Amino acid sequence: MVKSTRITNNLRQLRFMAEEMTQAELARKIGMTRQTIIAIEQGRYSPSLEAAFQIAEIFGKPLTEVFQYNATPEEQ
Amino acid sequence: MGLNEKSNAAILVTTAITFGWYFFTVMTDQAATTDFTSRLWWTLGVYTALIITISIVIAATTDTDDEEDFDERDRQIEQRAEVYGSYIQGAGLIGLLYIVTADHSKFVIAHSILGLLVFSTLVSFGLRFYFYRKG
Repeated sequence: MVKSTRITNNLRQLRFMAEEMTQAELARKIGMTRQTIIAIEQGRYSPSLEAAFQIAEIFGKPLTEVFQYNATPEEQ
Repeated sequence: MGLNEKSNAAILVTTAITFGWYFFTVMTDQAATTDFTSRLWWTLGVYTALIITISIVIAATTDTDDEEDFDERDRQIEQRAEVYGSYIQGAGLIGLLYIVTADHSKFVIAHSILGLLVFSTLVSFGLRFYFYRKG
């Protein structure tokens, strides 16, 4: 949680492209709080795999188009 | 600030103020060392009533806009903070065991127990507040 995450996401852009879906609407669709959506968008929280798939499903995109993992040089 | 975050902050502040006041009045009053039980139970009663009232007020005044009011992030934050709270309780229990077996007065024993509970609550809810702010 407090540890910085290397997972980034395009949630904000995807919401905008999905008829300017609000954070509250997205939260309602996946059964989360608006605060969690805000935390995900700001990169302060990485959702569970299940929630990540749910989000990708809502935007009709593959998971990797919504979330990206920035590997360190050692991991590559 | 979400419903859970507000509730956590309210519990943190209420606990600090209520028991801060209680410990201050008890420790500065010489007579309290022999006659403290009614004050202790009154404080616990007032604290419980305050927590219930504040929780109801927060739930009634927070607009959740039909979203969930508790999710995986809340659960993770709660669990993580509880772990630290339980570490403190575990370590404190050993200290309490010493105090009880060393034949201390009822006053010392009761306030050591209360102090431990209050401290672990403050740490647990303080950490929740921190985790909500930081990630």
